[in-house]
Amino acid sequence: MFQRLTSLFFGEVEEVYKECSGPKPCISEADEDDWLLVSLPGSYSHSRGRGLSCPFPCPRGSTPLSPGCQSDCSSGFERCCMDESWFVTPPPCFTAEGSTPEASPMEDLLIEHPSMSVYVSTGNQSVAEETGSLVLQETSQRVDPAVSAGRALSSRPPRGSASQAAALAKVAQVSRVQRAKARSERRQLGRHRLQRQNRLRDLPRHSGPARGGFLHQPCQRRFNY
Amino acid sequence: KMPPSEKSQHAKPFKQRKSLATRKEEVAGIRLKFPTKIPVIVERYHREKYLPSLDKTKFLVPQELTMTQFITIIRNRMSLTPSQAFYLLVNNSSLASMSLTMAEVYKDNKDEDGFLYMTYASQEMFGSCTECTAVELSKAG
Repeated sequence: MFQRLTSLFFGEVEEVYKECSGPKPCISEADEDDWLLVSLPGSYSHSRGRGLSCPFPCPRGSTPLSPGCQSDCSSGFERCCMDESWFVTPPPCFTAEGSTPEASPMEDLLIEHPSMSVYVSTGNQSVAEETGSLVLQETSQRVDPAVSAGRALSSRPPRGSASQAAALAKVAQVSRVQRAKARSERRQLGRHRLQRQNRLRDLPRHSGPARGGFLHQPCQRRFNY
Repeated sequence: KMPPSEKSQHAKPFKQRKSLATRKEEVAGIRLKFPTKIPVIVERYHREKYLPSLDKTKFLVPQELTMTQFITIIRNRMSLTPSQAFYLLVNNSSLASMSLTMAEVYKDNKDEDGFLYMTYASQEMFGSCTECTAVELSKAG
């Protein structure tokens, strides 16, 4: 009794619409005894006699929902049983294309020899620092340690004797030479790296029809050393 | 959304609210009106804390409906999200295979009163995991 009252208040008909509009077997409420009637769209004909079978509630109501509801209800059985959540089940990461091994050359570098890797730049920095300190040692042998320390700290143009100036000139020359060396080294590494990448790109093409995918991975790693 | 009376109304399981004779009568009556439908009672597991209770427990389902479809219907009716676990136990004891039709489940599991009893829960607590694929399916669906 109370059920009937609440269904009056809360809108039984609307509830039926909500159930009906989904892409699934329709649910409607039978007239008597709180039964929920589940009907498959293809088979409503033999349950038509009593209660609300699927196609009935749609024309009966006057809500704007009804056309969509009807079309959904009368659609095929196959579509009805497929809920949208089932389409999702192979997650996009499995079906997505374009995540091929050759996506990023940096990725390849990361599994290669450290000297060829992305750490190249920092390695050069450390080399430069090393040579710089060497140079400082060299100069401190000739120059007064206090003066050299002060100069190292303030990096002001030096004043003083000609020997100091000569030493400084030498320091500058040495550091310039070191920098040039490092730069050329880096360039060489870069060329090497390019060659490597070219080889990586080229070789899979020779090894039979490319099947774009993870299967290339072992093939590439063979040339890592 | 749910009227407050529902909870107290369904405090006791359906089977304990009515006598066997009454239930038999009810099945006979509903079978007369809907000869092609299977009468199913779907109730919440009594210790279930997470899943909401259904506003209706009595379902008349077509015989060719599969368990998968039926579970989808109930999940939708409770508006569960896909990540919420939902188990439907037949006869309070076992998970039916998702590919079985309601007619097949009914044939093997119907009660003496003629109803098919099902219990739903968010955890599978009955221990009989004979069909672990069914568990996975019910999670995915």
